[in-house]
Amino acid sequence: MDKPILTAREVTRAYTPDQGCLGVSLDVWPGEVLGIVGESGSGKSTLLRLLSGQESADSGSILFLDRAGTPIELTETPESALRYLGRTEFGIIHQNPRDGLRLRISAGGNIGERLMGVGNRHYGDIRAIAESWLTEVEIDPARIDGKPLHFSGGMQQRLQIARNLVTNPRLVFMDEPTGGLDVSVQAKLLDTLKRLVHDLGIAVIIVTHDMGVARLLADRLLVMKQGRVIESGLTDQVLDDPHAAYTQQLVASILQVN
Amino acid sequence: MRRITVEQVSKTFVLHNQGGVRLPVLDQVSFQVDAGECVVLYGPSGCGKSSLLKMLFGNYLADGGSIRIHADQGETDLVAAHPHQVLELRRHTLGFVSQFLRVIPRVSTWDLVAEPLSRQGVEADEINSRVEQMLRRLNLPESLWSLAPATFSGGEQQRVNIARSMIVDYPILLLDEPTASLDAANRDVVAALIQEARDRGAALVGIFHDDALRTRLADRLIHLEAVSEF
Repeated sequence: MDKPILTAREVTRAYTPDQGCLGVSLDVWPGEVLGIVGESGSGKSTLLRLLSGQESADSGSILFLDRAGTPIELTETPESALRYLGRTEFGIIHQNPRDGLRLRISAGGNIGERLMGVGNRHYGDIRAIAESWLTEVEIDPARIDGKPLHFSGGMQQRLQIARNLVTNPRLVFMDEPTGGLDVSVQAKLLDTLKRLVHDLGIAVIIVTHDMGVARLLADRLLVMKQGRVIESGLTDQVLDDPHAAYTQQLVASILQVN
Repeated sequence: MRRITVEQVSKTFVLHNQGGVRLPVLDQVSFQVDAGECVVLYGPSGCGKSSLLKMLFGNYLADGGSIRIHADQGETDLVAAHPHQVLELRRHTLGFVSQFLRVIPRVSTWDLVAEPLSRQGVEADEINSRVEQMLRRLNLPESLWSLAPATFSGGEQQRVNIARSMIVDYPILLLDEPTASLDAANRDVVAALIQEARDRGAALVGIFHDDALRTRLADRLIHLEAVSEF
């Protein structure tokens, strides 16, 4: 609890001189939710892909502390080892559930596949765990043999969350997890995420352009513009007392519902 | 025992998107608050009372000076603190009672009020009895306990908020007009809760527009004046 689980220093992946992710440094602590906000093209999704090993950095360091407390430099880790980390230590929740699910295998199969990936072989156990996870994310366990292809967008997203969390990851990456959903479905998903993150004590990095999502889920915020972090701090401090011109503009553009 | 030491704190808002207008709200403010006293921030509208209170919670950043919080676990300067230190202070030391409840969709009144205790790791039995006691005391009918407060009246939402922020015996309580929009009976309940907090040794800093309540609760006034720019 006294050390960051992920430490990134000067991470850079430049598509053009002011596009991509440029010299970003950050720490993620166990059990905290770190929000990354900014408009489209600010580099926030690129940063997430770099930190989760889905894309390689041009330069910089990304140090991850695994379950055993061993530091692993992700930028120097071979792809096979990254894939293993992806199954055992990470969870990745994509904006589009189709990128994170197999739509033509059953809901139970989607959850079970992750379990088998970490060595679980007992069919009865796997099915029982899958059922309990469906309940956890508020999908009727009777749908266990249904294909996600026939699920609603909100259900697909909840299934993607179950598939990721079933293996007890220690760090979960989320890219606009509520992006394509109706507002009422979003609220339900956010509530589920908030509860699970709190109960399981996992660390989360969440990319969003929705300040409401950021306020609800994130403990701390980073604000990105043109590939760089321009402001950071406690979530309510950044949103209630923004200092950078761009952050003030972002906050001022939130619709006041009350 | 000293709980809060504010030294030379200043704050200016710079509105970058409105021509870079500078709004100075506090200029070199200093004061201290001890355990067991209730200090009231006092002054005309716009003098920075609310901003100062938010700075004591780490919600607004000071431009200069120091705000030292003397917690049981040690001393932290909020002006220089890392966000994790601020979160830790909020978990155990700093409570903030505001006028407005930020409603979380689908979370029940009961769970909202129980959350600060469960974050501290308090046993479930004790949580249940304290939550029930607090909800009854604030006259929130049992029929509302399982509902999310989104559809409640302003006064009911405010009482949920007061229950949530006063359920933990924080060593420091920050009160931003906690009784605005409450009826007389509930105002009395809240005033009694505040007096009890002071009697158990909490350091209280508050803003009260209600003269009678201010007279009843304040041990000391901190006079703030509007900062003029020149």
